[in-house]
Amino acid sequence: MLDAANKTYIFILAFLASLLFFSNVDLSAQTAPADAPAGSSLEQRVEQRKKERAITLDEKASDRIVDRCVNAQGKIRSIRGTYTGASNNRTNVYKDVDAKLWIIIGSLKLIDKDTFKLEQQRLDLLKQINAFDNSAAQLRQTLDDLAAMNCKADPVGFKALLDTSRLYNAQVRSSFITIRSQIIDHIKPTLSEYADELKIKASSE
Amino acid sequence: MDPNNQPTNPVTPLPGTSPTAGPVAPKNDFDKGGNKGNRTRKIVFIAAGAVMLILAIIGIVASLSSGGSNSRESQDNASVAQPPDLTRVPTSIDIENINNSISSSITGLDDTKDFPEINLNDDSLQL
Repeated sequence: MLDAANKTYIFILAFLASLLFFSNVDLSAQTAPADAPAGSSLEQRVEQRKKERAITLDEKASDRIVDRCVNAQGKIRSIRGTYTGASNNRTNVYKDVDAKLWIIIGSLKLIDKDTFKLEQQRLDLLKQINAFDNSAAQLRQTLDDLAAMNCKADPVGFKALLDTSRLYNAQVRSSFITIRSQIIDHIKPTLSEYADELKIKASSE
Repeated sequence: MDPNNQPTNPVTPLPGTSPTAGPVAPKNDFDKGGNKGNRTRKIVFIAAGAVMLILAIIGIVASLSSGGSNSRESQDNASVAQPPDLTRVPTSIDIENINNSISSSITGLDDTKDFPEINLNDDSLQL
């Protein structure tokens, strides 16, 4: 026979298991979307997102989307255009920053300065820039698919793509905040350290 | 012979002198070639003049466009500090300039305006 402690322990485990089983937590919505394969068709991408998001719509929700999706597609086209300009502008700025870092690393190497830390920070920055570019490209593709698909014929697909685009939008925002932090909080202080070293060296000579 | 019946010499009228005479036909090949030569010279002068005019226009357009890009370059140079020359030793000022240039590039990006999440919510899309 089980003692009181074991009974309590089993009760707690059962309670947690039931919470998990009956909970309404939609884990699929939190899963990051996978990149659409290169060369995939619109239909393939819609199917991919439907599997990823595992969305179910009741009749009322489905009818609502069918009634309103065409209007939403017009707004999405406009958003897509704005996002293209914003991502191109950011990519150009990031490339400019990277080019300047590359030049300053070369100049510091010329005077035999240890540039390991700055080079590592630049590599991290490059990874973050690539992540931003990828997320922005996936977001643009998803918005294109949203605008192009027959939303009245496939409201579930439309909803899946919309949820996917929201996740990519969040990823893009997160990545450029990370890039800003990398530059402001890490790279700039490192550059200031080199400037201070050279200033001290120049004043002592 | 009757002195009164002397034969009269027929007088050949000079060409072009008669009021009813038509345009003068060239009497020989030299005249034909001369007119052709004048025409050819005129065509050559006109063609040369046209070519010179086209070249002048191209030159003006090229100088205007290079002047425009120079002004654009000077505007860009004014707004962004020049990176240090790789062939000379960097100074602290060079590094500070680069640092400031990077700051101005990044602060020029507005994180609140780009990719706002509100754009894709149901209210904005009226879904």
